[in-house]
Amino acid sequence: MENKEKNCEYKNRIADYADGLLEEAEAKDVKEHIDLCGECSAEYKAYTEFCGMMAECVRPVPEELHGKIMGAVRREARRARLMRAIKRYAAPVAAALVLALTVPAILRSNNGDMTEGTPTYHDAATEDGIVYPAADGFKYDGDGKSRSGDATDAAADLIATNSESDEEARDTAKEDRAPADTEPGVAEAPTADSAGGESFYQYTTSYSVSGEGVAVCYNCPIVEVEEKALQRLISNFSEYVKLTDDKGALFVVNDEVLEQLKLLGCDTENAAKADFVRVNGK
Amino acid sequence: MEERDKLTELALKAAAGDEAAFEELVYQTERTVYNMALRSTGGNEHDASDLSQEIYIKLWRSLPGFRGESSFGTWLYRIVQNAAADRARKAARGRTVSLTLEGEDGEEGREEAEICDTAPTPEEAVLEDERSKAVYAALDGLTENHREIVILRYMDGFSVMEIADILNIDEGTVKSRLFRAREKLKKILEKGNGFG
Repeated sequence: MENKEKNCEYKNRIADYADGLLEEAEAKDVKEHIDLCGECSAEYKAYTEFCGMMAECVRPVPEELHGKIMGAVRREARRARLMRAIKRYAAPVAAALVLALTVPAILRSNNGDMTEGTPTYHDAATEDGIVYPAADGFKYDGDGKSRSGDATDAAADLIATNSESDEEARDTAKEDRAPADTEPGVAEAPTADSAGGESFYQYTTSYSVSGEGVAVCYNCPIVEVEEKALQRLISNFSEYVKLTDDKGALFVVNDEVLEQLKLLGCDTENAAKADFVRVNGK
Repeated sequence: MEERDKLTELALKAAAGDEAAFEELVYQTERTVYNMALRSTGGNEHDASDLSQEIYIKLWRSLPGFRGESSFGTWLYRIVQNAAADRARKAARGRTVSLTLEGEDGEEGREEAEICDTAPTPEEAVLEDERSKAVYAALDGLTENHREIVILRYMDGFSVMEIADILNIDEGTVKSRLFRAREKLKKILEKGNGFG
């Protein structure tokens, strides 16, 4: 009886022994038992063969992959360093540039047709019930604050205003969710006339439950679009396109955002020629 | 487990800006990451390579937030899962494609076509040799819980502790589940003569 119990006990430890998880003294004890016990010896052999068999199912890494990975990460690191440098040194210039760019856009939008849901550059509830924060309420790197953090703050404020409860809004703003199936409250996409090859600022807001505001600005050195926000924006624009049967929404982008859109699979073929990227319902 | 502790140490160094530590981290984990990516992309090597790069970029970006409170393996697992899920969502949205077709009178129209997914199952597509195919076929005979835990432990190389964290179960449950999964898998393989 004693031996049987001992064998059962050892059998349960064989996997840990084979995996090198036992303390030295215990491992020595199990090894000695395996050398003496036919059943446990067979169990040990079967276990190591099993592990070997499973390991054979693991494919080797392609030769060039490591280099590609490190190349991609180094590019990302360089981009991040550049953005930090720009933030540090170009903030005052950038702030002035934003003002110079937004004023014409504000004047244009005020002179054009004001359709429901068009973002206005003042805090006001539109008929669709969605509040669009003022352009200057969306904090930029020019304030010396991190942009993605500020985007989240701005978005959290927006959601808190539009959601039923503040608590729910704070929770959803922080959660990493796929875009919800909600009515599109997207800002009006710039028309070819309004954009026409000029650099201008267009504020957009995501309308999903956990949406984040994204500012997209061409030739603006202070833009850094958080990838998650951009993905969500594209997704929401795609939904908007499908729902409205539009042919595509247009963004104004800079080179950094362009790269991100490329990685996300958007058609950026014409982006170099015009200041736009078309979202084709992706 | 000792290896994973080293990974956590490497990750903390990388989080502090040590590029050499980051590269070593990549060396130590790229096989696991690549294979997880392969399974998630249905065995498509090109997509798996792209996904792997995305994963490491995400990892690099998120490393400053890594404090070592959980093991690095658990941290990495979640990044891989999120990246794979993001990619799958994007792929699913792209499945209906707008085509411009020429009508009978030569005019262009627009129709939507669905692309049917005829790819092999993710697991089968990864494999080249017969024995591995037999293993994956046998894995299909396991319950979802058993299959997942066997793959995490014996292919992806996560420790029992990490698996417990990932699956939010205790280590004892991990071990007993692993034991039952192994026994079941062996029976299936012996029945199919895929493993002698």
